[in-house]
Amino acid sequence: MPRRSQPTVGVDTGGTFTDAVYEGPDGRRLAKVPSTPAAPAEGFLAALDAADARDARVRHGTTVGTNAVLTRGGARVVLVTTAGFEDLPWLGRGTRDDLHALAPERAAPLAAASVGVRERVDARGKVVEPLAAAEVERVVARVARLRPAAVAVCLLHGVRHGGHERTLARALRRLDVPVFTSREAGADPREGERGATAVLHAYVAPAMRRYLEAVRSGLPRARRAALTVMRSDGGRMAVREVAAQPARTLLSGPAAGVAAAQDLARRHGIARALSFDVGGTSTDVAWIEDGEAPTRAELRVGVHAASVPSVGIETVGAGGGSLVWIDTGGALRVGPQSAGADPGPACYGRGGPFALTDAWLLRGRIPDALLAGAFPLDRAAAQQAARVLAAEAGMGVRALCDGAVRVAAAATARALRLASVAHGHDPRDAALVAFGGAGPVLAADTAERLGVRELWVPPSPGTFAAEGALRAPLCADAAEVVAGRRAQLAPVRKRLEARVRATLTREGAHGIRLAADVDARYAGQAFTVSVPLTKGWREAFHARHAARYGFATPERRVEVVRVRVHGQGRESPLDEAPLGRAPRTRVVDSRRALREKLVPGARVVGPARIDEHSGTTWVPGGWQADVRADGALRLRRTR
Amino acid sequence: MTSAIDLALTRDLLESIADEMAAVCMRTAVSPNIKDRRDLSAAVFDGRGAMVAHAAHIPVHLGAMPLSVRAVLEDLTLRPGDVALLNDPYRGGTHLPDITAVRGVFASPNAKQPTFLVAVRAHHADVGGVEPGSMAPQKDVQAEGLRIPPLVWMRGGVPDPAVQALLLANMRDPEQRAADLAAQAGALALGEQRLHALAAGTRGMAALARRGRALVRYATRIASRALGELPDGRARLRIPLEVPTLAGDPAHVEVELLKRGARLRVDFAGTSGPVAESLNAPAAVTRSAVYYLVRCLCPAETPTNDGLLADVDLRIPDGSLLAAVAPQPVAGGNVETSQRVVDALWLAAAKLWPTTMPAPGAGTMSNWTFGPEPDGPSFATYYETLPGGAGGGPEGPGHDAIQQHMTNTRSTPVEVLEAQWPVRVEAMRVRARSGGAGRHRGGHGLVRELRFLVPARVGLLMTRHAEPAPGVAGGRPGRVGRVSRVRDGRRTTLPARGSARMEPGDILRIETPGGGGWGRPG
Repeated sequence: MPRRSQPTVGVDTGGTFTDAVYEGPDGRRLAKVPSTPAAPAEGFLAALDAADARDARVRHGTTVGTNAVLTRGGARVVLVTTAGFEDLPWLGRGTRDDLHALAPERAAPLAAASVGVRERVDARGKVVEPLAAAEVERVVARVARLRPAAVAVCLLHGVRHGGHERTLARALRRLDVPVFTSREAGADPREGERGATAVLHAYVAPAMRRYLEAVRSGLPRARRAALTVMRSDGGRMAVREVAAQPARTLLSGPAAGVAAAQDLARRHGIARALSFDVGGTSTDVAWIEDGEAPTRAELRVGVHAASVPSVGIETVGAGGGSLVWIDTGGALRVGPQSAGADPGPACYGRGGPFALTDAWLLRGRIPDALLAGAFPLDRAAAQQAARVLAAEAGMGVRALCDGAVRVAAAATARALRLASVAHGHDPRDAALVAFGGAGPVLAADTAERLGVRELWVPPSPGTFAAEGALRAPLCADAAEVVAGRRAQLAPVRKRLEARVRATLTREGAHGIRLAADVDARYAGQAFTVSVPLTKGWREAFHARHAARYGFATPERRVEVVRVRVHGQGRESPLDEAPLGRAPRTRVVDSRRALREKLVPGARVVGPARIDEHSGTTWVPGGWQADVRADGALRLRRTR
Repeated sequence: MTSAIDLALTRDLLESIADEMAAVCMRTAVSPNIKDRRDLSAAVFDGRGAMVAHAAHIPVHLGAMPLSVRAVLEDLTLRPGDVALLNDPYRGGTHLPDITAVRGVFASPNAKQPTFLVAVRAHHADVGGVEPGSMAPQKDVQAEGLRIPPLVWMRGGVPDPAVQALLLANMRDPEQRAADLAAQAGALALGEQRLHALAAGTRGMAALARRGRALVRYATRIASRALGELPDGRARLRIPLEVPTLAGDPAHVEVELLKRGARLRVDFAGTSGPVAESLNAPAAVTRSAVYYLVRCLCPAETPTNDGLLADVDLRIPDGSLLAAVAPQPVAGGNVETSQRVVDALWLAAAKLWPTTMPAPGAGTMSNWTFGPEPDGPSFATYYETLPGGAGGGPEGPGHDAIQQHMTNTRSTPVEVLEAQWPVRVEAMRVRARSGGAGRHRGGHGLVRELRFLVPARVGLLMTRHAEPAPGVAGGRPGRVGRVSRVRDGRRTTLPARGSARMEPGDILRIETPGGGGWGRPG
């Protein structure tokens, strides 16, 4: 393997383990250490030590923000909004979460309280009621009495007129807490979504700040400024950018996995790929085309949504720890409940329930001990749990185990199908990139259900997200809403490009590439279509509209809603591994192969199992696996 | 006997087809109502018209879709590639704007009968009639819009030019209609393709059909178990609708629930005859309300298919306002009476199972519209439904200002509303103290205040402005809804159904009803 001249490490904090992938002049090292959810910085630093990478530049995927939201353990946030609309976070769009609940509910918002401010701007940005100085003072005093840890400001038409939000934010900063305005928080032209975004930033800001301070204080002084963090859209951001937009890190971990899959697809020239990340409780899938995963304008964490760009990930509640059970109609189900890390599946020997991992163990899909023997599994306990359930279902243990795998494969196949259809494709046109602890065990079964004939397993699939953090580009972006004005796009674009370039340059990025897009729509439409901002962007808009929606109406007026500039670069030359020539194929005659013993060119013919430290790959009958020059496994269906 | 594993697999595969059809229709349709508000449903049916899988979006379509498909099977002989169209409210339709497209899936090109059918129902922005939008109260169905009996719209995958021309000639914005219909047809083509692929992978179409029927029986078992666990009993009650019948008496919905073991009889005998306003409900809508009650009593993740109603004996008396016949107007039956039918079912169920059922909620969709006046500037007609308070229940208080039962459409953001219509929203907040008191109080309603900047005509279609949402088990009723116009500081209450002129500067204040309380206030 060629070497990277700058010592660099990718670190990904997951629910159970924290992983590190180091690359530098002295080679490449991997590490896997237990996560420390109570004090996540400890696990982070332990992973750095385990990889002997304290002196490296750190690229990090974190779950601190996500956990704050999922456990509702974030900051006490007060929302300041236009008087008359104080209930905005509680009303949402008026809908209920579950269509068929006897008692309809809508999840409580993340804001703890709100304060109305007397001011008003109309839809064209004209001030209808000015914001008086005395009113600003009254609002600040009122907010102070509510003792917030962070404040969000969202005024009606704040996108069209930023002055009132700015004035309030300046005054509120006297309270010595972070303040987020809706205009800076994403500029969505819908007050509910924009307000929720500002609240989300505020909600995770103090926790993110504490965490990043703890992380930085553990790094050598010279490396502190070089820390970068994975964003939800698959790029990395400088640590000093996080304070302004902390919610952009919320899908940091899943995005890192997709970034790694993108990198693999690019290097191997895979035109269309589906990333397939199977963890303990759920499976994340994403569509990748020409090495890029399309992003969407919205981010979802649990029941909370915000206008934050994110990789288009579909999640389904099926993973290695998912419970296998029989419902009241007599159907076999896998998930969404999970055995969790404790007690874990029955085979963990702690009295846990029958889970998908137990089915794999009993059918020989995974070894009797995980992590190279460090974590022995209790086969008798799994067998016992299986017998009880099999009796309830009126079938044999073997049929039960095979059935559980097929049902899990069907559930994940459904997610992959939806992710493909959303981009107008058939999943059969794509290759799966399988990773996560359980991805390579389940991938072939899922691929067979979908009719997919090719799948890839990277080296060390269990630390692949850390690899993604290491490989993701450094990104920055800026956007401006221009709707309603006679749009002069060129000056807007210039301004945005200068801003993005300055950010990236400050972080030491080279080879900066900038791209400008317009979000446009036919006048009156609810959805926008994004096209690159070039001279002929209107024609491109009609063409893309036709491609996506089946028709175009060039005679209709096209209105621009927003101009966006995205930039990316690399801090150091990539020193990327050339793939080399395809090695000569040698068939390995084995039902059980050890991955570290397989050299490039080796071919394993299914049915066979390939074990390695951080995962197991299942090669069914009718499939074969080839080891590529970079160590990646390429599985193909041969019949 | 289909195995536990095959059941799970079949369910995943067939529901995934319904999901995909809905996704494609949403993605390729043009009108915001389908794209953004997602007012559509997609489903897969067996060859006899029993619904086997459904992509759940709109509860009021649930029980109605199968009746539309059966009407197609009764009237037409579909060939491969044909697509039938209908919106007839007396043949499984909900109201005229909901157009259903149906396509047969045949085991072979020569097969006489389809083995499966796929259908997509979508709410179109206009289907002709006196008023744009085809939703305004009228005297008869002809005035409401174009009524489409089951007919063959596409032959061999291509629209019949004569039919297409006739349809579009009778609708406003024909270009948009054609695009939305094409989106429905595209979704059906995809559904058919997916079923063929699935059949090829599961030993043929006939085997797949058997598995589809097993899926229906599976839902029946879940519903039977859920109903079987509730106490047996009989409860009858009557609830006012707040409108007069054609004969001039106050109309009401009456229902009797009789539950024995896993069987449930729902009998609407005693319900009033047809009403003068457009609040007559097609039988399909009534059936959807019953469907919805049973589905709510089942555990989460229960499949929504026709098996849920297998053990339900539903009786809707002919000549009642819940079994509308031509030419009675029905636009409001779908969006308003449907909520009252659920209320009646809810309240009767609460009598039988007071520790399971919450009290009735707002019980109205609070439908309202505004459009231009002849002497003012022109703009598109605006339509929305507003959330109200949910009833308190055994588990806790009712939720404030939330969409309930037969609808779950999203409200329009204030900024979007103000950018596209000549109004200024003055306030939108929870309506304090409007939920009924109780051990668990009813949810509060909503207050929405708009100032009009140009002359406009407001249309209201609401109930629960006279009779409040009742409490349950000693809980107190919620407060009734109210709409008022504020002009020069003077406030006038407007009738719950009808229209009124707004002058520039006038404020319209809508207060939606609170939910009933549950249990004696402590």
